Amino acid sequence: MNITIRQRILLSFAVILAVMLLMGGIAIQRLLRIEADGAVLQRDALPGLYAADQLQSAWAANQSLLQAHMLAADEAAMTRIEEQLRTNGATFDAELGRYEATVFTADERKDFEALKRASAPYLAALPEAIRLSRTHGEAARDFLRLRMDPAFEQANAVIVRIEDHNHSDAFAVTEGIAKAAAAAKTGIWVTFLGAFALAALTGFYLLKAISQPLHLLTRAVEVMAKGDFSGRLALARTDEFGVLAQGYDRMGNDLSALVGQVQTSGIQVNSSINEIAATLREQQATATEIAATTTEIGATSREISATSKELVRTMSAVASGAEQTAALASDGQSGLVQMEETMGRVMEATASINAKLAVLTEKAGNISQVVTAITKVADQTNLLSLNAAIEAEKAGEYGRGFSVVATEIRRLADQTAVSTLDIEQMVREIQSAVSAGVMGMDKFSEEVRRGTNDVRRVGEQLSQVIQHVQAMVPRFESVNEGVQAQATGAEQITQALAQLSEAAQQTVDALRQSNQAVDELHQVSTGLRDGVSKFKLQA
Amino acid sequence: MLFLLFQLGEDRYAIEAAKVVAVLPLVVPKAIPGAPAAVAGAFDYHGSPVPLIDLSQLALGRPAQPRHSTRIIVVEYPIDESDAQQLGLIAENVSETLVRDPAEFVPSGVRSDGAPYLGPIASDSRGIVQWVQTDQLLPDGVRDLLFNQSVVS
Repeated sequence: MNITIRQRILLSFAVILAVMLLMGGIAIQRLLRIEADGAVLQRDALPGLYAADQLQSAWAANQSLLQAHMLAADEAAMTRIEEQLRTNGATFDAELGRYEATVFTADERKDFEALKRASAPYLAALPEAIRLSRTHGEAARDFLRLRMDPAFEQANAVIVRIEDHNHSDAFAVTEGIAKAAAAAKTGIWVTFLGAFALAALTGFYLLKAISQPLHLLTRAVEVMAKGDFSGRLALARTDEFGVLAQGYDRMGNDLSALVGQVQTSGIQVNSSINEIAATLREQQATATEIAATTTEIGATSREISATSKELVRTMSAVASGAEQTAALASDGQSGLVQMEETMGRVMEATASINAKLAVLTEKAGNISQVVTAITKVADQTNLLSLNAAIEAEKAGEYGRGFSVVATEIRRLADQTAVSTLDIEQMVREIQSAVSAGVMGMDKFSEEVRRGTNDVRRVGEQLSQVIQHVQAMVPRFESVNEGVQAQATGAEQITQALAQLSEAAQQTVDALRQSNQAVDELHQVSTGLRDGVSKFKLQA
Repeated sequence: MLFLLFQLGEDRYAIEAAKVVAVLPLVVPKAIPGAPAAVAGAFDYHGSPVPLIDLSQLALGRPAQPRHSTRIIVVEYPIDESDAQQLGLIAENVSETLVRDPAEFVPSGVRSDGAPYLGPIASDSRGIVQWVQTDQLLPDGVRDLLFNQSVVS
């Protein structure tokens, strides 16, 4: 059924309104009938009845007054009664006229005409009756009894008939009213019950059409309110609840996506915060290092400044030293000239020593030859003595004396050999000493020659040194100025570094504050993540 | 009894003077090709060739050092019981004699099969002297090489 809730509601109300309209129409119709009956009662029946009653009472009062007049004791009472009779007659006439206004039907008209005819003899006989009555005689009573009473009864019967007519008319009218009212009541009840039943039926269907999806929606919304975004309605309806359910599902999807993004973002934010915190700590450490380094550089710069000042002093000392050096170099140059001459003399002396050493070598060689000869002799002697001893041994007893001699000879030969050995040793030492001396002298003379050349070169170098040192003095002054500028620069650097150190310290403080802020941010982020993690998402 | 002293390395040895023919200065011998290392060669002694043994080479495995005191000792070498040949020995520091009773020599207590010529020992103020038995000086091969030839000729 492609009926929307709005259409449903409108339909329901339309049905109820139609039923009520019907009910109202019926009731109005009934009431209109009752009203018409009421109008009849008011215009016709009740005034007719009333006038008839008045007529009867006036008629009856006339008869009663007549009888009272007859019984009246005195003249005054009779007059008074007569007056009353006149008044009563006027009243009767007035009532008659009034009743005539309520005559509508032909029966009533006939009755009215009948009354007029019936009352006319009585009224006509009335003055006669009054005149007779003044006499209180028998005639009066007879007149009354014979003439007046029948006339009265005749008219009275008509009046009673009229009265009855009117009464029955009024009764019929009231009975019709009561019937119409009862019918209206029944109709109203029936329509009321029908309307009630219809209203209940449409209301039930409307309630069913609203409350069922509303219940589903309420439950879904409660689930969602607890943070569970996994539920979906998927209602197969085309009405507003279908739209609402689609909207709810779309909202669930959107919220799921959003919360998922928020969770992801929360984690990312958390990790980013951690990274930021780590970076901040590194920066803090770096800033602290920078501060420390700056302080060290400042100390170094101050040292440089101090060193520069010392350097200035040293440079002036060097400058004076250079002047002294120049003077000393001049002295050294003259000393070197003398030294060169001395070296020449040493060279000559060396040559004569060399010649003498050559002679010594020759002599030692001669000694060596002699020693060799002696050695050979001793060797031969030893050999001979050995052979002699052996021969003497072989000769036995005869050779004994010879053997002693041979032994003595060998002893002498050995001594000679030992002595020559010593001499040979000495000569050899002399020879080696002499040759070492010759070599040493050769080296010495070579050294002296080289020394002479060196001295000459040193002299030249010294004159160059003097020139350079003299040229250096003005340069020392410029160096001095440069070093002073350096000292000033170092002091400026020290000041700048002090400022830098302060700035680094401030940076460290700022970073510490940032760190605290990041810690708080981290707490907030953790709270956010915890809060978001309470949401349950569709898998 | 007289002994002729010589040295092999640092040790002193003795030969009985009765076995010694003569002590001669060192000469350059004629080499004998193909002979063992201990055989230094041959030299002429009074017109006859005498084989020459280097005692240092024989006992120590190194040639004798050429000094004045390094000399040739000519000994009588018995080939058999009836005949004896002269043999030259090159020894170091041959410059002294020693008079000593043979009974003072006592066995060394160490027997060397490689050197059967080493005999008993005696002591003096300069240390131990060992008696060299010249009869057993040459190994059999060397003795045959040196002397059988001369017997045949």
